[in-house]
Parts: sequence; C-alpha cells; structure tokens
Amino acid sequence: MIKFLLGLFSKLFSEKGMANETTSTTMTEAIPTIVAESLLESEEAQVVAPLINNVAFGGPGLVHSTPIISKLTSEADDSLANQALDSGTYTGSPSQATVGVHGSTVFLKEIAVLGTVGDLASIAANLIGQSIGTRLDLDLVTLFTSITRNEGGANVDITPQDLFDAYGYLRGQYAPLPYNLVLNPQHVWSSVGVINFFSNVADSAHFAAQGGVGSVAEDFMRNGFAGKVFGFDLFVDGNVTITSNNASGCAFSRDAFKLVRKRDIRIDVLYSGPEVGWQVTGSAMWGEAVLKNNFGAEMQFNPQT
Amino acid sequence: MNTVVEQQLKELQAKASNKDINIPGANLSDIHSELRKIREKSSSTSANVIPYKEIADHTNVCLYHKDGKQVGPIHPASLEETWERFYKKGIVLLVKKPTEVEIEAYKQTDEYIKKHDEFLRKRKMKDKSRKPDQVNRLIDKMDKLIGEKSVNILDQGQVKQAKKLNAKSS
Repeated sequence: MIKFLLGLFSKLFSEKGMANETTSTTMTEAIPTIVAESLLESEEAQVVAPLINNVAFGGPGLVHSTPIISKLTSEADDSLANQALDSGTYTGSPSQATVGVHGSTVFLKEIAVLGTVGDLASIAANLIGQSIGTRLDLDLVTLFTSITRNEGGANVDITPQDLFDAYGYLRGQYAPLPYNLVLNPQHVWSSVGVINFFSNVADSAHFAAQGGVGSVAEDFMRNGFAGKVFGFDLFVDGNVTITSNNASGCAFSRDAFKLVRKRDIRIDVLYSGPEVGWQVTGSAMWGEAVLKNNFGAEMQFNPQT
Repeated sequence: MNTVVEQQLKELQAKASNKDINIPGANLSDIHSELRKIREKSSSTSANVIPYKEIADHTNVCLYHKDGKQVGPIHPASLEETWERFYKKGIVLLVKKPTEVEIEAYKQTDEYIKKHDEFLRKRKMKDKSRKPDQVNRLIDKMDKLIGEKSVNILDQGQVKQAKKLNAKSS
C-alpha cells in the first residue's frame, strides 16, 4: 500500500509531466491592445464669435472697411450764429478687416484607417473642425489687447470697482446694450476671482447683507456660475491666455469688434496613390478687427493659478 | 514519505526560480542595451502617426508697449490701424519687443513714473471695494455710535441671548 502511494506521488510530482496537468498560454496575439474608441482632447472654441458683429463678406474684395459716420450734436443754446445741430468730428479711422485663409490638413494613411478601432476619418474631421474653431476664437480673443482702454493692469486683482468702471465707461460712450464680459476661467473661479465678491466668507468683499447671500451669490454658490454679474453677461473663455500671471479679458458691446466671414469651413478629401492615404484638408476664410474702440474695455487682471 | 515529497518539491521550486540558470556570457546591461536597440528599430514604423499641418496665408504679429505689455497677435494688415489708434491716445507702441534692460530703463523715465503714480492712485481707490468684512465693520461702527451690541438675527445663539436679556430687563 505504501509502495503504491509512493509510486502515485512520484508520478504526480514527476518531472516527466503529469496527467491532468494544467498549462496556460497568453492570448496577447489574439486580443488587440486597444479596445476602446479614442477620445479626442477637448479645447475651448467659439465663445467670442457669437457675441460680436458678424458680417458676411460675399463677392469680390479682401479688405472689409466700415466707415464711421460722426454724430450730430445738439447745441444747448440755439441762439448761436452756428447751426443748432452740428456735425462732430469722429477721430477714429474706418475699421478694416483683411480676410485670410485659416485651416489645417491631416494625412490619413490607409493602413491606419484599416487598423483603427472606430472611424478614423470622423476623428480627423473632428480634429480639423476643432482646430479651426479654436483658431477663430484665438484670433478674436487676441483683439482684446488692441482696445486702448484698460480697467486693470499688470499683476492686479479684479475688484468690483473695475466692473462698475467698465460699465460706466461703456454707458458713457453710448455703447448699445447688452454688455458682455469675457474672462479667463481663473478670473472667475480662483482665490482672487469674481466669485469671491459673493461668497460670504471672512476674506470676501461682501456684496450681500450680513448673514446672507444675494441672489447672484446664490447662483454662484449653488451652480458655480451666474449668467449675469454687475450688469454684464458673463462668459468664460479658456483661450484668454495667461502670460506671466496676467490675462486680458474684455468688457464690450457687440459693435466693439467685427468678424468678417468670406467662406465658412469646407472639408476637402484627396486620395494619394503614391502615399497610400487620404489628404483631408479643412479650411475657412475670415478676417477680424476692432470696429469701435470705445465700445470695449480691456480687463487685464491677475488670474491666480 | 513526507520528507521525500518535500525534498522533491524543493528541487522543483529551485529550478522554477531559475536560481540554477546560467547563460554563458550574458549580463544585465547587455540585455538592456540590446532591448533598447530593438525598440529603436521597431519604432520606425509609423502606421499610428497622423501627420498634421496648419494652413494659413499670413502670420499674426504683435506690437508692444514700452513697458513690455503685448498687443495682439493681430493680422499684419491691422498693424498700422492699431498703432494709430494707440498713438491718438498718447501711447507709442513698438514693433520690436523691448528687452528687460530697455523696460527697466523706461521705468526710470518721468513719463512712466507719472503714468504709474496715476495707476497706483486709481488702484488704491478700486481696491477699497475689495476689502473684506466691510459690512461687519460698518455694524461695529454703528454699535459704537448707538452704544449697544447688535444682534445677528440669523445667529440662533445671539438671538436667544438677546431674548434672555430682554426678559430680565422687562
């Protein structure tokens, strides 16, 4: 019996291989590494364009010029020798926007198209569309520093008074309502941001009654955002770039800037035999310019990060 | 019997942990070096690379204030109009970005000192609207004038205390 058991054990643990043994192999070769569709990185696009004067520029010409007509001033005393209604002198220049080509091109290799999970052509189109949208927003946002009036300055924190002054300035220039305020997100949500004006904490500038918060503050505290603040329609735009801890947003009326569209986005696809793939090109043509300088105020402040 | 089985198990485990494996001439740095070369060669395939290129018929450019502040980048055709707009407001913009030395030199000029003093005066006034706790300070001032401590009606503790005091005095 003992001999039998010994024999059995030696067979079970023998180097020559065991009956009923389990071995395993990897399935790496059969299972592809990427099993999920790709996710495109997101970016900010098209915040400013809907807020300004959009002009369709069909027909010939590449420079869109908008002359400004001086207003008539009414004299307080019409007994003067001159006319009671007098034409003022507008000191600005006609606003000119030169149209340019903007776009991007992507080369899709056929081998990549065949080997990809999901629709690579659709991803390429998204990539192109997103980049053109961001390019347009960037071109408009960089116009903010072209406005001569600046409510803030280098390395200063935003205060409620800056917003009051901006509103007062625009109103004094007879800029038509509504007034928009486009800021970097850090101008709103940070330890030095607008949100602090409404939080009822020790280090905030209270604009609410003692012991309670106002309705704007309730919006901020509940939703993290308020659509309107101090008379402005508030928008945040991540394309307002931060340079050396400064970022320039803008408080403006619609006619402060103009966007001149020659041709909207178009996607062209060309197959290249020698390179075995598709050249996918998206392009659009537009121009942008400051339309009326005194309908805007640059908001250059410290966006604490 | 157990000792025999244990002994055999130990021998098998030792072989499985490769303690006795000896590849003549191989060392760790050689293996890593060869593996690195293999990876460099195998990365020459580019099926997973999507070449991308931006298309534009112009390059936006910047103008600069004398203290280094950037204006733009804007379309090159808009440069003259922008420069003129600032000039009419008394600000001369530069085409070339000023160096740190030039900026420091400008900050010593009367023009800058005058502008900066005016800027600081305005900021001092504006920053007052950012001072914290103004409502509480106002209430404290009012308390001093009245000679009584105000009660925060939203603070239950203070309200109860005030009720007790009122009940005692009446």
